Amino acid sequence: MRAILKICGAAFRKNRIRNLINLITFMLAALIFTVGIAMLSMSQEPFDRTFDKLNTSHKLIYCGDNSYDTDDIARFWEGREEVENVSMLDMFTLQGKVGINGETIDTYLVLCEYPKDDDRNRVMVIEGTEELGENEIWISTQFAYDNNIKVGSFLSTPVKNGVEDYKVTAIVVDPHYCVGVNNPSRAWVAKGELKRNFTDETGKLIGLRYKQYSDAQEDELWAAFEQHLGKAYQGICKDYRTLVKEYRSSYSSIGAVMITLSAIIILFCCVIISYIISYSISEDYVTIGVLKSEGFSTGQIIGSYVFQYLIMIWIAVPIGGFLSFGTIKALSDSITKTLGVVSDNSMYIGALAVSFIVFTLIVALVTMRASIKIGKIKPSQAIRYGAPAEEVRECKFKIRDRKYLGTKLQLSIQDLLSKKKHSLIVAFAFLITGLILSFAYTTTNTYKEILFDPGLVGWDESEFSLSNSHRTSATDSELEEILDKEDIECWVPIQFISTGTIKFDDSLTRTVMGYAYGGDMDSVSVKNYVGTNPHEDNEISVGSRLAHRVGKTIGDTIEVDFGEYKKAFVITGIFETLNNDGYLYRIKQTALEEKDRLNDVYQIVLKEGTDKDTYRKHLVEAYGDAFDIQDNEKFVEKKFGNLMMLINLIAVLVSFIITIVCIVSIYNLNNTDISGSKRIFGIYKTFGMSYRQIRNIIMNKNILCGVVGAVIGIIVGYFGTGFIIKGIMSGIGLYHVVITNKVAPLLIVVLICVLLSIFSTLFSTRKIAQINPRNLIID
Amino acid sequence: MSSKKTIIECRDMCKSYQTGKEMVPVLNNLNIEIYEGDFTVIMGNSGSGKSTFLYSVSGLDNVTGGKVIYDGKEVQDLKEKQMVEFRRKEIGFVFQAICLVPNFTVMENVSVPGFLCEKNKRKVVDRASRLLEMMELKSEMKRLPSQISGGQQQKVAIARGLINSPRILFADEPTGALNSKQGENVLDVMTRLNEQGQSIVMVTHDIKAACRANRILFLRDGVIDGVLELSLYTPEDEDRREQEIYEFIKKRGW
Repeated sequence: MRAILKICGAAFRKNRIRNLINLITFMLAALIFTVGIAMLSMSQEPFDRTFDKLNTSHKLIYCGDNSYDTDDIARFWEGREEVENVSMLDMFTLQGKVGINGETIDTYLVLCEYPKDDDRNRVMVIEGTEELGENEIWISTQFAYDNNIKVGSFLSTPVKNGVEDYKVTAIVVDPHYCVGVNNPSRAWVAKGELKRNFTDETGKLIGLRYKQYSDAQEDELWAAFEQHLGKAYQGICKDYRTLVKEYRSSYSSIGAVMITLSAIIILFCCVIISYIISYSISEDYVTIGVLKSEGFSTGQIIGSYVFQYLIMIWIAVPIGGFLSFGTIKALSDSITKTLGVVSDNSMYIGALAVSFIVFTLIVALVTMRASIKIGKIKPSQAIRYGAPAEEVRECKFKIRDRKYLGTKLQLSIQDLLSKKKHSLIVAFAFLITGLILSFAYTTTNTYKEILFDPGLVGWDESEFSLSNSHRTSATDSELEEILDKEDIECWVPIQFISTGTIKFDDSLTRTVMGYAYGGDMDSVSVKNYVGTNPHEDNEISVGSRLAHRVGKTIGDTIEVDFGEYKKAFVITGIFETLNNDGYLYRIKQTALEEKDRLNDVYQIVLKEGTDKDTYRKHLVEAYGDAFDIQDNEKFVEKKFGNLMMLINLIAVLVSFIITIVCIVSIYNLNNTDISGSKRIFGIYKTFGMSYRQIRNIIMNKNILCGVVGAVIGIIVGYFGTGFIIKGIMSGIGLYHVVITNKVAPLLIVVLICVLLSIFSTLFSTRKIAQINPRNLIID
Repeated sequence: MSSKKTIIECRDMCKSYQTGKEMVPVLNNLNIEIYEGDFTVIMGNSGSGKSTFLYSVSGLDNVTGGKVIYDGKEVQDLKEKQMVEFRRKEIGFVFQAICLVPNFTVMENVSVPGFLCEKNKRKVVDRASRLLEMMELKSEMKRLPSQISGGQQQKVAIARGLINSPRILFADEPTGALNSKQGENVLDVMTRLNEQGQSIVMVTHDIKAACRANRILFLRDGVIDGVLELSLYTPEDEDRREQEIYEFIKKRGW
C-alpha cells in the first residue's frame, strides 16, 4: 500500500497541472450533480412530510352556497372504508377589495374558523402567534408572500356592516394553499367570527383524508359519490394530486434536467479520464516496465492509477458539494418559506453522500477499465523500446498545392483527421457546451414565452381585466359606460362558470372551469393552437388536457351539464392553458340561459400608442376604487416570476459551469496532445515554422472541432430541449408548446465555442514557445 | 588565411546545460569558421560536444556565451521572426533519428517546409519531385515513412532539408541509425550534393563517413582539438583518406 501511495504521489507531482484540471472538472460536475439530487429530493419529501404532519385532507369540497346537503355528503364519506376521516368547517367566501397598509388589493379568500382542538387540517404557524382572537386573521404563506403582507399588518376587510380591520397575527403553512395559483386562497379567523362579522349563513368546507391515496382509488370514490348524489357535483374541489403536480412539476423537472446534465458531464469526464490514462500509460511505458521488473504486480500498478483518480474524486466531490451548498440553501429556503419545513441540512448531506458514492464508483470502474492494458505490457519490451509500437495510419486528406486552402489550415485538417480520438473528444466537449448553452437559451426563452404569454395561462392578449365582481359600488351598465371611451380599442366581458360538469368516461364526471365570453373572442386575441374560437352558441373550444382526457377533437360533440340544464357543443378549437391544470373550456355567453348570464370581468385592449400606466391612473382617479383593475402582464409576471427566476438561475449556473468545464478540458486535452506531439512540433520548428504558426495549426484544429461539435450540440440541444420541455409541459397540460428559438443567438453559441477554443488553445500552447527544437526532438 | 568565403563564424562560443543546480559546460570558447561549399565534418568522442556544436551553429539551440555569426549577422540576436526566416531559407537539417513526420507521406514531408516559404505551391511540388527523383524515391512519394526503409527515410529527410535551397545543410550523424549499405547510400547522396556546390556540416564518429569531407574539425571537451584539411572526395581515394584520418586521430591519443 505504501508503494502504491508513493507511486501516486510521484504521479501527482509529475502531472500537477493536468491533475488540477481534472480535479476542477470533477468538482464542477459534483456541484451540478449534488444540486440536481437535492432538487429531486426537494420535489418529493418535504411536501409529503408537511402533509402528513398537519394531517391534511386529501380533498377539500367547497359547499359555499348550501345548495347541497352537507350532512348527507359527510355521512356518505364517513361510510366509506377508504376514508380515514371527514372534517367539516364553517366557511365564507370573501371576494372583493381588501385594504392592506393603505393600499387595496383584489382578493378571493375563503375564510374558515380555525378548529383549535381538532387534530385534522392543522396549519403550521411559521411567523406570529399561536392564538387567534377577535378581529385577528391568519393567512397562508403563498397569499402573504404574493401580496407582501407581514405579521402585524391590518387587512381592511368588507364585513356585514361596512369595513373592519383584521390584524394579521400569523402567517401559516396551509398545505392546500401554499403553492401554485390559488383562487380562492384560505384565511383563518377565530371561532364565531364568521357569524359575528361576515354572514348569518355560513357555507361548509368538507375535508376528506384517505387511508391510502392513489389516483385510481380517488376516481373510483368520486364516481361513487356522484352516484350517491344522483348528479354531477358542481362545486369547487381542491385535490391533493393536482396540488402535488403543480408543486413538483417545476422542481422535479429541473432536478431531472440537472441530473441529466451532470450525467453528461460525468460521461465527458470518464471519456477524458480514459483518454488521459491511455496517454499516461504510453508516457509511463518505461516506468511501468521498470516497476514490473522490480516485482510490482499488474494489480498494484493498476491500483496506483485507480487510487490516483480516487484521491482526486475524494478531494473534488466534497469541494463541489461545498460549493453547491449556497444554491441548495437558496432552494431549500424557498421551500422552507412556503412549506414551513425546518431546514436541517439533511437534504444537503444526503445529496452530497449520494454524489460521493456515485462519483467514487464511476471513477473507480472507468479508471480500472482504462488501465487494464497495463497487464499486457512486457517489462523487457517496455524498457528496451521506451514506447508502445505506434500504428500510423495514412490520412486520406493530403497536403498539396491547393490554391484556396493555406498550408497551415491543411495541416490542421490533417492533424484533426489523423488524431481521430483526440479530435472526437474535443468535438464532444464542444458538442456538450453547444448543447447545454442552446439548452439553457432555448429553455429560458421558451419558458419565458410560455409563462408570459397570457394566452397560454387561460387569458388573452388584453392589457387589463376590469372587474366588478363584488358589486358594491358600480353597476355593469356604469362599467360598460367607462369602457366606451376613446382610449379603448375593444372590450369583451367574461363570465366564469364553476358549476359545469363534463363526463370523463361512463362513470366519472368532473367539474370543469369554463369561460363564457360576452363578445368576440377574436377581438381580444383569444388563442387556440388548432381550430377557431366558438362563434355560435353551440360551439366550444376546450383546453388540450381536457380534450386529451375525454378523447375528443375538433368536430366532436361534448356535453356540459350546467346543473339545471345540459347542453351539447361542437368542438371548434383546442387551446393550451396552464389554468386549472389544463381543464378548461370557452363558450359564447349567449350559450347560457339568459338568467344565468352575469359578467365577472371585462377584458380590455387599449388603442395602439395608449400608455397603460396613464390609462390605469386615469381610471383610478376618475372612479376611485369602484372597480378592480388588473394589469394582465403584471399578473402573469407575479404568478410565474419565481419559477422564471429559478429557471434562469439554473440556466446561468449550468451554462457557467459547462463553459468552465469546456475550457479546462480543452486545455487539458491540448496539453496532452502537445506533450504527445512535441517531437513533431520540434521538426516543424526546425524547418522554419514559427511558434505562432504551430499554435495556429492547433487552434484551427480546435476551432474546426469546436464549430462541428457546437453545431451538432446546438441541433441536438434544439430538438432535445424541445423534447424535454414538451415532456415537462404535457405534465401540466400544455401539449403543444412552441419552442422559442432564434438563429442569431444560437450562432452566438457557435461563436462562444470558437472563442473558448481560442482561449483554451492560447493558454495551453504557450509552452511551445519556450522550448527550442532540439529539446522538443530529444525529449 | 583561406580564400574561401566564410559562411559561419564562431567566436568564443560557449554552451552550458543546467543539470539540477549546476551548470555543466559543453562548449568552451570555441573559435572556428565554416566555409561556403565545404563538406565539413565534426568528429569527437561521446560527450565532446559535437551535436551541441551543430545545434548551436545552426540556430536550433541558443549559445550561452560568445557569438555565432552567419553572413555577418549574429544568430543569437535574431528575433523570432528572423530566426524563423533563417531556419526556413538558410539552413536545412538532417537528424540521426531521421525525424520525419510519421503521418505525412514522403511527398508531404518534403513539400510542406517548401509551402511555408514559397507562395507558388506548384513550384514547390515540382522541386520536391525533382529532389525525390534525385534521391531515387519518386516511386515512394505517396508512401508513409513507416512504409519505406531507414535509408530511404534519411534520404527523404535530406530532400526535405534541401527543399528551400538552403545555403548550408546540417546533418547530425545521418548514418547513425542505418545499416552500412543504407549509410553508404545516404553518404553518396550528400557527396553528390556537395559536388553540386551545397555546403554541408555533418557530425559523425564514423571514420568512413568522415572521409567524405574536405575538412574535419576534431572536438575534445568542447574545444577544437585539431583541423584536418583533405582534398575533394573520390571513391578510389577512400582507403587512403580513411588511413589519413585514422592517423590524425591516433596522433591526438584518441
